[in-house]
Amino acid sequence: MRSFAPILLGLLLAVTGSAAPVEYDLEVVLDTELHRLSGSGRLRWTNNGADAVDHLQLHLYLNAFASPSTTFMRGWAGRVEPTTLEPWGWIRIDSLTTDDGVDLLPGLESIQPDDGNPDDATLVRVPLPRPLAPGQLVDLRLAFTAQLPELVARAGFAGDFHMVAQWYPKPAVLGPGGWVGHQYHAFGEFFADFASYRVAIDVPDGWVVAATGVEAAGAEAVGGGMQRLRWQAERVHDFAFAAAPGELMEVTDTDFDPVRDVPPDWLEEASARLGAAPAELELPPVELRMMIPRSQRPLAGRMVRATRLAVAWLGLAYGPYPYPRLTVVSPPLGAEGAAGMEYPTLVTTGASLLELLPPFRGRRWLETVTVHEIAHQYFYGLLASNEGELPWLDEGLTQYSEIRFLEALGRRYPGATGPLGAAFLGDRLELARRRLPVTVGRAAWEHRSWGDYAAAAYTKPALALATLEGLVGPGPFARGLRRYVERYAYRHPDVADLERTLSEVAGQELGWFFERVFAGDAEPDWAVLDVRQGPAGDGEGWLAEVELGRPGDLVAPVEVSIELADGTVERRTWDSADRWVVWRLRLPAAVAAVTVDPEGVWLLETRRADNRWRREPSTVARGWVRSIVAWGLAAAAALGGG
Amino acid sequence: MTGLAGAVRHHRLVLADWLVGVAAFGPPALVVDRLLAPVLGRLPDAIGSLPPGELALITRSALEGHGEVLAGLTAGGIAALLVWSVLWRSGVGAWTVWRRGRAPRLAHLLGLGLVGWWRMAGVVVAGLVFVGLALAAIAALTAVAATWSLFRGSEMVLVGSVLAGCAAAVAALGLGRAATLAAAWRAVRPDRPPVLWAWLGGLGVALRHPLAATVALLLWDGAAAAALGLALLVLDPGAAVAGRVPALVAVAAASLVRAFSRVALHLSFEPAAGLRDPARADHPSEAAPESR
Repeated sequence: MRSFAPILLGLLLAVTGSAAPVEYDLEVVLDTELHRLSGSGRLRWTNNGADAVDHLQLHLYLNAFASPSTTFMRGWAGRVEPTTLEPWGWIRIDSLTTDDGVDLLPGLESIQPDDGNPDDATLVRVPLPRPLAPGQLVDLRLAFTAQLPELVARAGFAGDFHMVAQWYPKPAVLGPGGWVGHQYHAFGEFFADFASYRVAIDVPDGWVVAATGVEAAGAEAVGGGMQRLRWQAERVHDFAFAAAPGELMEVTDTDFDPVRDVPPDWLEEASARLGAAPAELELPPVELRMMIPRSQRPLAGRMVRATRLAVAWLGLAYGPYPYPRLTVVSPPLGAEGAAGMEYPTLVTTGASLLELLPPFRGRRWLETVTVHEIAHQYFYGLLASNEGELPWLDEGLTQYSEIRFLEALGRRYPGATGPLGAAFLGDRLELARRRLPVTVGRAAWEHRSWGDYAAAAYTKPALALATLEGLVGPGPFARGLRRYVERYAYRHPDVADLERTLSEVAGQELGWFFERVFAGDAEPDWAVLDVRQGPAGDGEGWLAEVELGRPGDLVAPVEVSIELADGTVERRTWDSADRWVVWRLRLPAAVAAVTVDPEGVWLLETRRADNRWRREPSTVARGWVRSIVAWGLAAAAALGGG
Repeated sequence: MTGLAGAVRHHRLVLADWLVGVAAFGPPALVVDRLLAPVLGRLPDAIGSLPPGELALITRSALEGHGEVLAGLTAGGIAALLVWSVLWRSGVGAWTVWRRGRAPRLAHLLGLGLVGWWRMAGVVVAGLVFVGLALAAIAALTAVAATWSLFRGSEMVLVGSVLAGCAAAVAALGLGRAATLAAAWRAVRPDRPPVLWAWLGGLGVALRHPLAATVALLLWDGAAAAALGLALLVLDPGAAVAGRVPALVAVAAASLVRAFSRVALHLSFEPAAGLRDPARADHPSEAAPESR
């Protein structure tokens, strides 16, 4: 399979059309003693905008680890101890010239558009010798040195394990309104253009490397105990690699075989949900490369299984994984800072042999992080939304996908979903716990704490998407998401693109939902305030007054069920435009029960205690909970009394 | 068999321990019931028809804001149960020294317990201090080993240290418990040894007879745990027996088994040769707590 990868890459390029606006041709030497990179090469950038530009913006992300005063480290302090790194990390451009020899370094300056922090050099402005018109290309020669930091957040080294990420100068994205360059913040991630990469990596003999893309050629000796490995990747917006001695990490190749690895029941479910014939959902084989610590060999089978199932489920849901190879790196013990991260065609998971032991085993952390990071290959990898300004567009969709995958896994492997059982329950309890309303549509760095950021980027969006799914129906929602992926692959979608696509496929206008739930911070909460009723004076049926209220700020239509004493159930919709409403009804029988949102569609609503009214109180639930409480207290007595 | 026979003989004590256990946690149970009753009464009879996670969310909503009160009441219940536990152990011990072969009256037993309450409380505190210090030391050593394993990247050391730490913690808990149970009998000896000596003597008994002590703990604590586990099975809507046996009856029965096991376990550690007046020529021998 390996020998076919470059051919497949070429086919991919032919099928997907025009070349990316950025091309990298880089050579890098990894000094494994100093943990430092010496890089050089070419960077070709094309102005795909509508206006001429007179400067470039380049990301120098590794400078986030240069000192305690950088924007990233200031935000990171309190999340991780210590806030002193040994060593600090940085990146320095040693030379930058155009292809006709104009030196661009003298004009290079750091800029801090987000917070004005003069100690932050993660974004630089490079004036061009002359304006670059739309469609024109600038061909740069560059040399740079990058020091990897102690591995605490994504990039760095731990012992001999090197996670080399955000290691080269990377152009920011040129948007319709100009450069969309942001500093590297503690909350939020990255944003870059699709590019083609040719990267030659020099590492010591006996070391193994896992990287974005595929090898362009076999290893070649370059003398001095070093070997050169050449990699290539097309239509990706980042290039990362992991390197370590062969004694520490081993690299094995396997594959995703759709015939073997797609569970028939999953194919059947996807076919029904998407309204597509199974033949239309066929998935291609994918090369899988696993880089795992030799000490984690007992977990290798489980890692491969999790990867295959994730590729299967995500492929059925969103379309085939579009690259020839997927690489999975499980960082060794001590390198947890690199765990749980996504790069195009390469993910880092995270595992420990503790997962072999109960109760760690039941948590399914390995499967959870594997599917989460592979889901990012779609929401981030293919759909390269701005992770800083719109973190939820990739994290929220990924979190939603992760939970749906674990549900499917739980149906296949009982107990796989963990102790809480009900999907999204953990997220709902987390949302219920938060004191302040969560604003999803906020830039990542505008949140006051990691907890707020996580709630806004992961928790609430996942619940909102699941709520939207309940409102429009699982089939239309699934088709809408798939269409979104198909339509915006290799582009930079924003919220309007998702809203437009889902509205189109669902056949209804969903702008109100996006505006109120994703852009605003209003929370849904409805209640049955009271029910008053009596026999009708004329002897025909009953007269009832059903009083509903909206303690929450979110105005949205909600279903109400009215169950009568004769067993019939009437369903109505309340628009909840007012804070309360009284329905005066003439009914054939007395009202036995009233429930707001009886199907539990509004997963965003976490205060559910007042959603119901019953004419005759039930004793069943109370008896059951009483028993649970009694058991809990008996257990407390057993422990407390000694 | 002495533990079993003893618990049967002290059946009034077993019943009292069960009732005290119920009463000690009555306040928090009542508070939870009052908070949940209005909301749970609105739920349909077919709880399985509720949307997934609904019950957890409703329970959380109903109890929100009352966490501190409930925690305080539960802690109070545990404290009350501890006080009671010290009282009846003191009473049983004192009655055993002065027994005349008759079954004890509960009031008499507890009256004797009041007299020696502080000594017995001292023994229990000594046991808690030992367990606390032991667990802290084990936790520290485990943390050091785990940190070392992180730096060296050794998964086997990490797994090994966690497993060893867990095993050591279980052993420390068992040893502390056995030592305290044995010390409770030494504390009521007619020669009234200092509390710390009594506890150290109990530790010595437990260390000299680890098998017998372990069997006694496993037997009686195991019985209590099994009873609670079976009750939990009854509570599980998915279990085969759920609904056939009223859940509260099952929990009540499990609590009774717990109370019986506690008394039986305590009596299992009574010295085999009995406790006698040191003024008599033949002093008591320190026979092992038999597997009873």
